[in-house]
Amino acid sequence: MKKLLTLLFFSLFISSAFAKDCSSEAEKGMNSYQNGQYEQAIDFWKTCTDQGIEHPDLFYNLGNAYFRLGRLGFAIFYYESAHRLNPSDKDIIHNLKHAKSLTKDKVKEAEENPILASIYALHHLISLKGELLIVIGLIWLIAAILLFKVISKSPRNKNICIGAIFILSIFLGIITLSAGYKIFVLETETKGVVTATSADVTSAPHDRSQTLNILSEGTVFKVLSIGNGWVEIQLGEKIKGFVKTTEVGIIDDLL
Amino acid sequence: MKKTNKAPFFNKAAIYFDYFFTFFRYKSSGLFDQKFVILKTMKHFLLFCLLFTISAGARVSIEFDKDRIEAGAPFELRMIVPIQELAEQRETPRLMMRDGFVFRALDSMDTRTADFFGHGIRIRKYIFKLTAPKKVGSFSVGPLSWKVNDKEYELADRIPIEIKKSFNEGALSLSLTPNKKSVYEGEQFSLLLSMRTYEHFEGNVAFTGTELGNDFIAHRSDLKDLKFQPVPGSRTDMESSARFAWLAPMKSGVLTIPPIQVKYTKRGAPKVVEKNHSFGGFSSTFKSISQESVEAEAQSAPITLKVLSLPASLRPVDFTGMVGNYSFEAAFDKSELSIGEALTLNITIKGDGKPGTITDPKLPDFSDFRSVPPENTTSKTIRSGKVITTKTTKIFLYPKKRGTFVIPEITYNWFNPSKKAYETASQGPWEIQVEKGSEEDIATTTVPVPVTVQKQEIETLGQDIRFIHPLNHISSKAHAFYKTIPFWVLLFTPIPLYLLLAAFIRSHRKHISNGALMRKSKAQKNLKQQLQSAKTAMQKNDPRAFYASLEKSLIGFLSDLTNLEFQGMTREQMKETLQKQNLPETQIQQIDSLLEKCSSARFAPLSSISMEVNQEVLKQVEKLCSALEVLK
Repeated sequence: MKKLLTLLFFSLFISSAFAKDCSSEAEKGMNSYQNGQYEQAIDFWKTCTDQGIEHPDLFYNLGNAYFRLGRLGFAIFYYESAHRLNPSDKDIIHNLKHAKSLTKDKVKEAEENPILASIYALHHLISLKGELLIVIGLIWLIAAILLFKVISKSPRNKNICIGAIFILSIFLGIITLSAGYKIFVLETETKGVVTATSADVTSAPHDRSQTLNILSEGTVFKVLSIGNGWVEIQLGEKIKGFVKTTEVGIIDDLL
Repeated sequence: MKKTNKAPFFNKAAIYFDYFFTFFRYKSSGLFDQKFVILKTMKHFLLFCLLFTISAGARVSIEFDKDRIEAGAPFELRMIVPIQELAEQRETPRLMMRDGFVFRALDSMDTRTADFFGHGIRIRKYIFKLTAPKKVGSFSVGPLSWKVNDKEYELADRIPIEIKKSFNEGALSLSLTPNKKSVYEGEQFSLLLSMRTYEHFEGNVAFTGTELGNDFIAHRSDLKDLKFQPVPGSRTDMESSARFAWLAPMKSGVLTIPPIQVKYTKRGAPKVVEKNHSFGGFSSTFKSISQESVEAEAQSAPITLKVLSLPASLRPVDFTGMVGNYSFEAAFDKSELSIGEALTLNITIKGDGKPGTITDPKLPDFSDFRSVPPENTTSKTIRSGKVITTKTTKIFLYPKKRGTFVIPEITYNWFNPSKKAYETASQGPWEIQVEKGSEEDIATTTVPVPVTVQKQEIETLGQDIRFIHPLNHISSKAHAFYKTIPFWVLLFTPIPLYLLLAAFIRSHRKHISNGALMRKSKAQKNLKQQLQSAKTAMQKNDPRAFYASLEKSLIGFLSDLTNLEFQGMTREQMKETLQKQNLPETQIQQIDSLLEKCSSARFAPLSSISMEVNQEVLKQVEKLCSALEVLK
C-alpha cells in the first residue's frame, strides 16, 4: 500500500512539473482585450493554444476577440470549440447564438416532427456531464438498495426493494442511452465553420469542378471527410459538396 | 443629298442613290430583324427592280455587299456603271475616307444584268474594299469623284453608312463615373451609372455584383431614375444614366472601386436552320435564319480614386471625424423647471459627409441630473445630388435638487473639404433654474419605484456578446468527464463493493447460525471472565470462591471448546468424554488433577491454603487452557 501511494505521489509530481502554464500570456491577453487591442489579445491567447492548451474559457475569449474585430467566421469557430468542451456554459451558448444570428446564410432545416422535437428537447434538457453524474448516482443507489435487500429479513421490505430497483433501472437505462448517444455524436460528428468571407461549395474536390453554392462567413456545416486540401461537407438536406480547407475551420482539429 | 458638278450622263444618279438608301435604311430598322427571311426575298426583288431601272435608265448606282455592316468588319462598296456609258478617257474613281473608315483596295469586274424578259445590259462594278470604323453609329464616306475626259466630277458628297455592333458582342455597355477625381478621407462623392443598349439587346437586366468594397461607407440608390432614352442619331440604341451610389472612403491612399456586373438577354448571331418536309411522296427543304435569345453579362471598368488624408495642422483635439458641410444645433426645451419635471436637450446635426453616419458630440457633465437612455434618430435624404444625413438626439434630464445650474457650451467640429479647413460650431452655455416642486414630484424623483407606479417591461436597447472569462487556472487539457479516471472508478466501484459486502453478510449470517462455532469463538472470552473473577477472589483472600471460579472456568472452557456440557459429569465421565475428543492423555490427567485440587481446596481448612499455592494453581490452569486451544 505504501509503495502504491509513493508511486501515485511521484506520478502526480511528474505531471505537475511538466504541466503547461501560460498564465502570464493569458493575463496579458485579458489586459489587451480590456484596452480594446483585440489583435494583440488574440496574439497572446494564441500563444497558449499553440502550446497545446485547450480550455473552454480560452476559446471563448478568442471568440470574443475575433467577434470584436468583425471576423465572424473565426468567432463562431472558437465559440463552437468552447461549446464542445463545455456545453453547459451559458455565456458560451449566448455568444454563439448571437454570432450565428449575424451570419448571412439561412439554412433550411427539415420540418420537425413534434414528437421527435419533444424527445430531442428532453435529450438536451440535462448536459452530458449532468447525465453521467446521474448515472453514477443511480448505480450507487441501486447497489445500496440491493445491499439493503440482502440485509433485510422482512419479505415486505425485500419486495419494496425489488420495485425500487426496477424503477431506478428504467431511469438508468434511459439516461444511459441519452448520454451514450451524446458521446457517440461527440466522438463521430465533426463540425466546420466558414472562416473566409465566402467559400465555394464545389461538386468535386478540384478547382475545375462546378460551383454548386457559395457559403458566407460564419456558416456552420457538418464535415463528412477531409483530405488533399478539401473537406467534404453537408449542410441541411440539400447542400452537399466540397470546400477548400483554407477557407474553413474544422472544430475537431483543435480538440 | 448634296451634289455638285454633275456630268450629263450622271443626272439620274442622285435619284438612284435615294432609292437605294431608302431601302438600306429600311433594312437597318428594327423591323428587319424579325422578318429577316421575308426581307431577304424582298431585297432580291428590290434589287431586281433597281437593276431594271438601271437598265431602263442606264445610269450609275451604288450598292453594298452586306445588308448589315458591323463595327471593325471589312465590307465592299460597289459603284455600278453601264459599260455603254463609260467614257473612253477616264481614270479610276476615287473615294475619300473619313469617320474612321479604312480603304483597303479597289477592284473592278464586268458582268451583265438580266431583266424579266431576258434582256439586260453589260455593267462594270468598281469595288471599293473598306474596313468599317470600330465605333457604332451613323457615319459617312466620301466624296466619291471620278475624272472623266480630263474633268473631275463629284458623284456624291457623302455616302451615309450605319455601323452596327456585331451580334457576337455585348448588347449592353455600362460604366461608373465618380463626380470627383480625388476626395478627402470621409468626404462624400457619388458614382454615375451610364448604360447604353444596342440593336440586339432584349432586356431582363439584373444586377449580379454590386459590392463596392470594404474601403467605403456607401448609400446605394434605388435606381428609380434609370430611364432609357433613344441615343440621338441612332434608331436602335438607347441610353440612360443615373446616380448609382454615394460613397465616403474610410482610409486614405489610392483606392479602387471594384466593377459592378449585370446580366441581361440579347439576340444571338443569326443561324441558318434547315428543315425537311415530306408530303405525299414529295420532299422539300426550307432554309430559314433564326436568332435565339442568349444570356449575357456586362461589367463596368474598375475605378481608381485618390483619397487624401485630412490635414494634421489645426486639427481639433477632439475631432469628430466628420468630413463635409455640417450644421449643428443644440437647445433645451426650457430654462426653468421644478424638481420632478423633465428637461429635454435636443441636438440636431445635419451634413453631407459619410452617408448614414454621424458621431455624437462630447456632452458636458450632467451629474446634477438623473438621466435616462437618450433617443437617437438618424435619417438620410437625397438633396441636390447628395445624401444628407440628419441625426437627432433627445436627452432627458431630471434635476436631483433645486438651484441654478450652468450647463457649459456644447461644441461640434468637422472638416469642410470645399474650404479645406476645420470648422467648429458651438451652442450654449445655458442657465437652468430648478425650483422645489410639489411633494408628489419630489417623491417621484427621490423614490425610484413607488408602490403605486405601474411596472413596465424593461426595454431591450441592444444586443451584444457577453464579456470574456477570467483565465486564472487554465490547464493543459480539459478532458471530457467521461474520459477521466474518476468517472470510471465511480461508475464501476459499486459492483465489486456490493459483491464484497453481500459475501461478507452471507458469511456472517452463516457463522452466527452455527451454535458450536459461536461457543468456540466465545470460549476464550468466557475463560478470561471466569479467571478474572478467580483473581478477584484471590485478592480478596477468599480461597473457596477462588477455587470455585477456577473450577467453573476450566469446566466452562472445556464445554465451550467441545460444545459438550461437562457441568454435572463425574470425573470418570469427563475423562471418557475427553478421550473421545482425542485429547492427549497427559492433558486429561492434568485436567483431572486440577479439578481434584479445586475440589479438595474448597473443602480444606482455610489456614492450609497459602497464597503461593493459589497462584501456582492459577498459572497451571492458564497454561493448560492455552494448551487446550487445539480443541478449536
